[in-house]
Amino acid sequence: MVSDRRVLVVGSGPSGVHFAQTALSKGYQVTMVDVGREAPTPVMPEADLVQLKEELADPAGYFLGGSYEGVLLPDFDKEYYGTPPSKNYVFEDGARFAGSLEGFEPLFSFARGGMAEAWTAGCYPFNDGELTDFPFSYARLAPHYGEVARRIGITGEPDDLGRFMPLHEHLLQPLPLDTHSLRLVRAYERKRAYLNETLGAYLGRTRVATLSRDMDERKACTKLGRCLWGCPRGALYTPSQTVRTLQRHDGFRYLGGLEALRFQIGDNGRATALIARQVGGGEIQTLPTSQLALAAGTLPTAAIVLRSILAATGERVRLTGLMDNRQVLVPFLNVGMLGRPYDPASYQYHLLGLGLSDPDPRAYVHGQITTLKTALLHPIIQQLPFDLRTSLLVARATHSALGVVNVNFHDSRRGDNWVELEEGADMESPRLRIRYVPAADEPGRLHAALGKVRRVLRALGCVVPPGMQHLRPMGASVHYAGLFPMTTSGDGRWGTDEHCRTREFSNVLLVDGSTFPFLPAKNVTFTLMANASRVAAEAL
Amino acid sequence: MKVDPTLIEQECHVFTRFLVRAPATPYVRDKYLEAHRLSGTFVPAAGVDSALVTVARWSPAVTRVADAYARLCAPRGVLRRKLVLLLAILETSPPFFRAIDYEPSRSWAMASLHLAVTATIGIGAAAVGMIAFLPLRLTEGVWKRRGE
Repeated sequence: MVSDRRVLVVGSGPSGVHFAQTALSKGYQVTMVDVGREAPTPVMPEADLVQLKEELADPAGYFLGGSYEGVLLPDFDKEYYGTPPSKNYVFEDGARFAGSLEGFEPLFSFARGGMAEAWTAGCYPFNDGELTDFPFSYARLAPHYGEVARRIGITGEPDDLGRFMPLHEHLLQPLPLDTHSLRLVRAYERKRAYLNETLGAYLGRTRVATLSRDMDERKACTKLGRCLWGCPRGALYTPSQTVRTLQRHDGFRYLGGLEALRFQIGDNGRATALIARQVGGGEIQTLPTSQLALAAGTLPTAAIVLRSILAATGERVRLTGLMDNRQVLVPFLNVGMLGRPYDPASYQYHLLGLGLSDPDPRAYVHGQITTLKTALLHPIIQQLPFDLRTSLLVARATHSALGVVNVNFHDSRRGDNWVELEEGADMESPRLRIRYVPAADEPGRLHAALGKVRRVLRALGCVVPPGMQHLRPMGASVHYAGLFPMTTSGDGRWGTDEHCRTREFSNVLLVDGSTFPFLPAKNVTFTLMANASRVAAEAL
Repeated sequence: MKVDPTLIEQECHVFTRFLVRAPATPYVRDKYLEAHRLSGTFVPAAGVDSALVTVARWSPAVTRVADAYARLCAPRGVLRRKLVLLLAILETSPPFFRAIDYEPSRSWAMASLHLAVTATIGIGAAAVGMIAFLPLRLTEGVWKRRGE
């Protein structure tokens, strides 16, 4: 416990805002330093996607962007994220963080709310098996899962996926299923015995931070079909909503437009001040601090710590153990859906999840099943092996039958995967050099699991088109973790204790994914929020 | 980028008829032209790339054949880029987005038949495209090798 009840938080992503909210509830004064690029004001907030296309003065400008950056041309050769122009602010200017990269393609965000401003809202608590390497069990995290669920609103229900995901408090009623998802559920019910017993595969509702009923200023999802472009009703949770809540609190101060560069280290090994620069290469500011919580995201947090050490001692440290979830996209066509028109009044993101069990609970494989609803179709149409007119007609005829499983794989810490500062770069804010090598057993694990996914889909009446499976590059899932792992043993100079306190700097807490010693196959965001809340509750 | 607006507008008109069986609206034409002015990515290189675009401008039927060939043999070429750009504009613009998004409800059997017929026409267009344009590509290859 510290007597000074002030804390300086860096970053407004999911970890930062929930750490801040719990700290405020304990009577702390919280100052949040953040670049904080803001989302544009939603256009025509009550309109659905069809109305937007019909009624906007310049609909192509809205959907494709002023310089047509939303058009996916056939010669595009990078990973396609489908981020629309209305979400440009999320990744704007992030590339300058990355220096030389090997085997890793990271994304960075300077948005208010961080990368989760562009997430798909999947919320999956880790179970005891997945927390084996953590210095605490599910029971210690459970109240914080419940508290975060109360704050943000998570829909879900007990079902077959519950065997992989503990039930916590404050679950809202799930969102209604679309016709295609409902058809998959019915097929699963018919084939349950085979799928469960032979393949170890389980289907259920994904838990999503999207409201099925009004909550404070946020409105329930009314299926406007605009999730990807930014829910104008606030039904889909993003951390910037919590920033707005925090800003109404007397004890909270938000310093936007500031990029944290490093912290100053005093003689006693404690951080004494945060050095930040005004966005746009402006003036350097020194913010004195007695308690610092870094929640900028695993890689930006690593950059801040590494720069601080370099500035104080001249030492260039290499941090090992970088993790990220490998993701593979498996598109499918549900033959039984042919002939049905698609309904544009829909929730766009995943409503179903697929779990593949394993004798080792850490090796659980998780898939998010998204049936195709509203979306820009030209990226799909151009992939079909015909002229565009024919491809358009084929895509239109199969629109309601298409879907994709985003298959996630776990990752563990390995010495091969590291992050360090690039030499010879700008000394005030040197960029990161990153190297990632997949685990030796990855090809075998992927092959086995993807074979099962295809068998599951076939059992559900779906066809997986040959050659369309897509292995995403490491870095694409943006679930980065592992550089300052939590341990109870005290081993490792760059580890943290169970309260995510750095061993080298006793008043610096790392409250984002950097402290996770293992990365299960699930989306990590919900656990980031719960763990940040736990740290604020236990360490302050 | 400096572009010939008359040529681009004419091209837009033909390509729109190819994609959605309707003439382009002034809005679509303006957006298509604007994209060409903003980016050099739609300027064809010499050779078959350029010839494909020129021939594709003749009529929607020829566009289909040229595009079917391009999908298989020049999928990243300028013709494909222009058509994908136009498709993106059309799918976000009234009234054309309905022609891209909406499929009438059909029985499963009728939907399957419709799909089979559509795919057969597409395969036919590709066959004609290969017969028409592959010799051109091969000739170009021979000329290039001689030039080296």
